[in-house]
Amino acid sequence: MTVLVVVEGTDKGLSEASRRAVGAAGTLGPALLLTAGVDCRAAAEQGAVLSGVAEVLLADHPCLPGAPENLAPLLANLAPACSHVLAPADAFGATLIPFLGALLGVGPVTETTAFLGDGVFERPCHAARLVARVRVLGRLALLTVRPSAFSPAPPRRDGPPAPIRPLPGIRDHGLCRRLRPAQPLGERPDLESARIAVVGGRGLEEAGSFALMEALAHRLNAAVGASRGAVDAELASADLQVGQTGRIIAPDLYLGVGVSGSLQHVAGIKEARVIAAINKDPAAPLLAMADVAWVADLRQAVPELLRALQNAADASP
Amino acid sequence: MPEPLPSSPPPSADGLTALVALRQLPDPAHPARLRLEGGGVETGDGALVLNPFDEIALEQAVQWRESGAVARVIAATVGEASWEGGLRTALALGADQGVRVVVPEGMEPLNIARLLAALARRLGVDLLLGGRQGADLDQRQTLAMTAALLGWGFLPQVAALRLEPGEVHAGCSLERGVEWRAARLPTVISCDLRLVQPRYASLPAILKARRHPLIAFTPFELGVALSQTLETLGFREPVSRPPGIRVNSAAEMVAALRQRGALP
Repeated sequence: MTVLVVVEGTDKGLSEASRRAVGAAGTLGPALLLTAGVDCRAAAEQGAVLSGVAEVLLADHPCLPGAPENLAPLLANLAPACSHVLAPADAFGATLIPFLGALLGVGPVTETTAFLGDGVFERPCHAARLVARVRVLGRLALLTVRPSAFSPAPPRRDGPPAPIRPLPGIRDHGLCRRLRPAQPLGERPDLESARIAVVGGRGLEEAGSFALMEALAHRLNAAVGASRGAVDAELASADLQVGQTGRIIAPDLYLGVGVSGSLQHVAGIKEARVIAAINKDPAAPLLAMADVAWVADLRQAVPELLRALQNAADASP
Repeated sequence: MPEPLPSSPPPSADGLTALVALRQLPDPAHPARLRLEGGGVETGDGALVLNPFDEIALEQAVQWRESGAVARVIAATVGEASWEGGLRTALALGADQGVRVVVPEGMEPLNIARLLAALARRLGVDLLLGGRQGADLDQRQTLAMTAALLGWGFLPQVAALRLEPGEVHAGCSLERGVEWRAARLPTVISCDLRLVQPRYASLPAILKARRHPLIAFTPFELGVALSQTLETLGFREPVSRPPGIRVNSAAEMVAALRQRGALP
């Protein structure tokens, strides 16, 4: 079985989502890793030292960002030799894989969370309240994988890095182009890879800003996220939104502050190992779902929590 | 052998035509459950609503029509016969025409995309809009596939839009932030929830929409061959979380989290 993994490459290398897609591919067989973007040699080099990668193809061209129509025809040429073509379920893969599926006449399985074998895959649906089992009827499986459901590929234990060769034949079809890259996020750990995520909800409106969340995140070396309510209230930018239509995360610890816990938000966090919640409304659904729940006004509770964390840090050797 | 990308006709001389692809689904506010017999999905009292993401796309198209940027808005459904209600809702919200292709329940996105692409070619569409995903299945497939079949560009998960001469500029929601992209017309656009605020239909508009004629096509009339490439075998509930504890102070919360190995 040849598994083709396609990931977005940037000048910063491989994203956490991409590393998890490579990890997922590694469970199926030796992988051919294709990194696509512009000025993304670093991504290919990082991929070449991951376990499970047999070879790296580098697609590096200014016409590639934002334009799946320039990459998909080249993948269509590689696909007949593969058993699986796989990408992370990030914005890059979520567009590219269905695009490729239409060219090949193959329906993809998107947001896959488990491989059951024999062409059978699991994926969440209905805001992750249910899990669907889907079978691919043809010879080729096209997939996007939900990063939160897979571990990142570990580094190679021994041997040289995988060879890197350029993907030939890239040309601009002239349909789409990137106007300017997204503004890079700050120095906080990335939401998808952080061990701890602190997420602020609409309850932060009473505090007037997200400053309490920033302080908590700093104390815990955590990523900061926001519920849709907080983003709509303009307390946080949209790229911090966690939930069904935002970031889907699976940290070791999720702490929701002033987050009511709508179905749509919970869909993005339910794979967290430990869920903690602070909310002054005792009926907030997140409190019922949490492993550790505290009914309290966040304006007093968060400073108290910061002090308690400081005391705990001072007390331990 | 990949399907060849067909060449697209130039934009129509009498103004731009926007087509909005609409789905109906069980109200997402009603939590879905596993049906005890038959293994299917139980979604509540059966009342259907327009996919909230598609409502956003419709609102954007209607705003463009109201500002004169677009000459006509066609609302289209590829779905079950019962989705006629959604089409009439779209007419009440400002669409100029309603077009439907009636197909069996549970058709896979590839086939829906084939039908949407055929509609877009038949109706001389310049802008094909829809929501970025269905609030039930969360697949994010149909519009990307439609773009590929048409040989058009695709602007995904758009949070901001500007029509420019001959192209569209869009802020696409990526994990790392909003990335601005341009696509030549004609193009496909999938809409994020924060793009626009949808309106409510007035009662006179709802009543008027009841009498509006709808145009219907069959897959055969559109020249589309359908195939099945996926099979849904069943559903299960995810493993449930055991009940948690309530704490009454920060010190108790820290102790409880430490005990679970969640704190550094």
